[in-house]
Amino acid sequence: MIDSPSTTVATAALNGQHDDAIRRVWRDDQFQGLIDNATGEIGRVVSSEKEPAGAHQFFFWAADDALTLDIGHIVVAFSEEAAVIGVVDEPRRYSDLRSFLDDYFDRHVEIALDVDTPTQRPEILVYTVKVLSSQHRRPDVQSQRPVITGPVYFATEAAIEFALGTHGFTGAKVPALMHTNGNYIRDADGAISTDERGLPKFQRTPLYLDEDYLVGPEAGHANWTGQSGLATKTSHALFLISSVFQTMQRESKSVAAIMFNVKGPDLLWLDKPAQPDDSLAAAYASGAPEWRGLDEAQREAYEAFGLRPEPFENMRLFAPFKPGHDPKSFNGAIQLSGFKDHRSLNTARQAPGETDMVFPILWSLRTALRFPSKLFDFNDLDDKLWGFIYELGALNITTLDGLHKQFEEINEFFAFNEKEDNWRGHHKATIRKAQNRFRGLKDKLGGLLADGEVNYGTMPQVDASFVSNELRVVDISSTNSMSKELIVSSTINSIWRMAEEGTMGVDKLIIFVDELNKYAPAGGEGGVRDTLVDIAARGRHLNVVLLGAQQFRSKVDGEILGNCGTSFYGRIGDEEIINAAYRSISETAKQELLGLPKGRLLVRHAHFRSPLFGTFPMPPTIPGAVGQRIFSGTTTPVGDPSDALFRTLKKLMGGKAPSSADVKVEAQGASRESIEKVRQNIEHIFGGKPMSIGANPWKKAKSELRTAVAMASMT
Amino acid sequence: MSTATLPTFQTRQWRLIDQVNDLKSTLARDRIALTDMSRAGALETGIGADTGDASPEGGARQPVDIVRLEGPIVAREIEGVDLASSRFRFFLDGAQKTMPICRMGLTPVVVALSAVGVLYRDVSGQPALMGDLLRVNQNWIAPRGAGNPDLEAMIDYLEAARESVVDPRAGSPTSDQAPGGFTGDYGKSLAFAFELAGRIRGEQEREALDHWRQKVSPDHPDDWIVVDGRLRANVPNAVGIVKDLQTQHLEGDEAIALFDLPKGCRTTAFRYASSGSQAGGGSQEGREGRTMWYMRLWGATGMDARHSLVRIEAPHAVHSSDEIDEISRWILAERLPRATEDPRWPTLLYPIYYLERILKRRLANITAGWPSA
Repeated sequence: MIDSPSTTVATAALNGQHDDAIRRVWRDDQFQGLIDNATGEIGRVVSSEKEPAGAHQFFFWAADDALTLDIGHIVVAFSEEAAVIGVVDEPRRYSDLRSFLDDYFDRHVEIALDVDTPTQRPEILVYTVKVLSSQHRRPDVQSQRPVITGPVYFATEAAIEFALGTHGFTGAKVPALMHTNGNYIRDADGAISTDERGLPKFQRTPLYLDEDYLVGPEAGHANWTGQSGLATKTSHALFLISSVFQTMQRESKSVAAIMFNVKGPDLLWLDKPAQPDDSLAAAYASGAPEWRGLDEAQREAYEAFGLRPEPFENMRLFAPFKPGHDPKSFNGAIQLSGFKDHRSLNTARQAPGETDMVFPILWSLRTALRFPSKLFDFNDLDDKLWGFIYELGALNITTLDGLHKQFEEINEFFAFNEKEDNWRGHHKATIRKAQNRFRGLKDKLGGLLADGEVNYGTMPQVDASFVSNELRVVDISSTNSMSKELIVSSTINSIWRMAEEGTMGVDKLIIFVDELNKYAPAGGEGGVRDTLVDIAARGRHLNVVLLGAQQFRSKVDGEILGNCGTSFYGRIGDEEIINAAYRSISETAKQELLGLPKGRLLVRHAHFRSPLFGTFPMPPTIPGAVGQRIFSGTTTPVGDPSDALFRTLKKLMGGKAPSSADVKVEAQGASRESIEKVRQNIEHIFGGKPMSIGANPWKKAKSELRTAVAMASMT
Repeated sequence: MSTATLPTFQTRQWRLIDQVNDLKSTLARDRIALTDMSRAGALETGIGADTGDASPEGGARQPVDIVRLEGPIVAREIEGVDLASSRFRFFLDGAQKTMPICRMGLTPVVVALSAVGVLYRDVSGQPALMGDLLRVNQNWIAPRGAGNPDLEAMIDYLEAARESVVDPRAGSPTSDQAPGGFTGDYGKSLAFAFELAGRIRGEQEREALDHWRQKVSPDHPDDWIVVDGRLRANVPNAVGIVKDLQTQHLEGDEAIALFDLPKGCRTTAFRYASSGSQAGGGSQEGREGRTMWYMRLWGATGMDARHSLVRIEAPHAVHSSDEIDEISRWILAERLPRATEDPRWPTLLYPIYYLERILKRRLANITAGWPSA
């Protein structure tokens, strides 16, 4: 009876040997490329009455030897006819202990806490998985069916790319983050690859963003949130901008970016490489000996992304003057063309030989009066003062010099007409008040406001059109808060106007605004907030993209956030994360965010059904503070004196510019000062205007350099 | 019945519901009707009917003659208990589910499912099922010669499909051996089927223990096995733990000493005076009675007198007080962790509980979808 054939058959059936009768989708050749068979099964899907598998979430228990499996990893399970790819979320470890008290009573008095009982109570680790995507047997079927009980595997790179919708991108793939999975990389023979320390290397997969959903037109904008000082928000924004630049260049599209430097020297040295070349190596070693540049893993990451770790060669830095250092007007006007006095600018980038791309921001009264509500106190700016300001406009008063003259005339008018209370319909008291308020205006705007009319001539302007791959940095870190707001508002408004008029000069323009909660606060209105909201809402159609960062996402205008196609989250404080702005993130991901290390971010993107964690390498540029130590810690210029000339020629001539080596050869023998003089002359002659046909800055530079070399040899 | 229809029930499908559906549709083609009992529930949870048998464990309610190995039966303290130390490395248990399937006239047709396995606990304390010792069995229980041609046809079908069909009277010490002896007695038929299912499982357990003794134990000479229930043979390094104390071996002051047994103590040991009082009594191993004693695993203040009381059955070779104390110490060490999910936890060792869960899951896989599973 016991030996009957049926016994064996039944046992075999229970051991799963009857599978040939039931088709198992995970054995299909079609899906083998999605699962890491070399690592093998890492768990098994479980679905219960209380916790069933759903279209967007399922559960699996982890195999005892799946020790590398953790939150954020991407795995593959199966429904009846599809592979279901998901990201591992909450882990829970189960035992059959009914109550904590049971274990307490087990131990209580009977047995010491550190003694193991003969039997260890079995525990299983159950993970929640958030579904990213499903791949059906048939390409024309979109499957949403929940997974069935069966094995779970680590996802391969192909599976991850599929799950993140890369196959459905309408634009180019913009590398954004690097995902690390729990499975190891293997060579062709199946052996696990190791790093330089001999440790197994995990599978890494670039996470791409869809260009059309990052910089428009399908969606647009990106937002970073996270605590300050963790070198994540700005660093990643720089990395992403570099990534966009290189991607768009490959696509033969032009793009430029403008950033506002709001603290310290953060963004002042974005034209300097993280990894120095030969000409800068010595300077880096002596100025910042602790700086290690990009390590092997970071260089590998760049390679995997298909990016070059190159700095922003076409960087321009704009800054207002230091208070009281604005140039004096001559005949009621200030000529900025040929400006050389960089020490008078309110920026920390003052190093000798490093100011060729630094340009001033200076306003006449005309520009300032576009923002009366910011210039004057809310209580002062009544209808009467408004009326007087309009009057000044009507009288074409555009400078402080002109205003002072006008006030002298008005004062004389009242002096000669003692009984008169009004001048051109404005009461004497209103005029006195205006005189009083305007008197302090220059100090209030500390270095931004000039006395006369400002004539930029050929000098580049902060709100002028852009050239491809230009990175424009506006340094407002040392200016007072009113000037900061005015410069940001004015610049963004001007850019928006250019966008509406189609005169930006590039296909796409990125505006990066740090401390977005300050410029577009939740519940706020007016000023730059309205413009930023407008950009967020309509920018993608006008090729303007807003990249914003802030410490507190909950404090940012909801309309801006709602229009962001991509969001990045760094470490977030517990007070902040309880806000509704984070309600779409799972509890596990929130807990992760509370302690997220540097260089790691959570990303949500239009194509991703669930947010994903990823890392990124250091930006391709040197950190501002390090750059400051290297370049500003010395009184002598750093690097080759011809570098600045090369940059100027490159900016003017683009692809037709000579190579850096050619410029160095031509400049050999000339003094540093004379080379800089040549550069300034070239900038003066050819800069700030479209190049005329036949113009050849390099030919002119060569001629002047030869003269300089000859002069040097004579002395 | 036509032989031409036989092949239709050839493909074995291991889920009970699929098997029965196939059977029904096959019989329906020959216009054989059966009365469905799929909602009747397992006999273990309901009608585990009294067969009126006279087996020692099932029927004997009176004390049996015993031989005292350590003097009169009194409580004995076990000293030097090390709660982390136990030489039990293997645990054997079985589970069964006896499902009424249908009725053909007055005769019930029952499927007996049983699973027997051995759990191995490694040195780190992690338990794991020994795959090569796992046995899952399915038997149809239906009598031939009951005078019901439809039933005969059904048995023919099952046998043609290479199903194991067993007569409920087979090997029963209490059934009427004459053909059709209890035909017409529905309750008795069901009770005998249930008894037979128990015997099938018991046989499986004996086989598994034999296998362990011959194939596994030689490689683990210092390790012992715990059998859930009675130890039916003198297997070296094997101990049976009986949780369900239906037989009262003691009387008078000795019985009082047993029911007053303090927590963590044992009684002095004894054996049956007659080898026939024990299962397996016919063999040489059976004739040498097992050594037995009682233990109280947990405190019983305010509880039933039998609370957390277990009977230990050890091989005949275990006879000295030191040996009995040593085994008792291992059993006390096995009290933790407690299997508090199971109401029988005061007498249930955790590895046995764990194994039982695995075995029951195996059976549940077969009965998945069955209306009364």
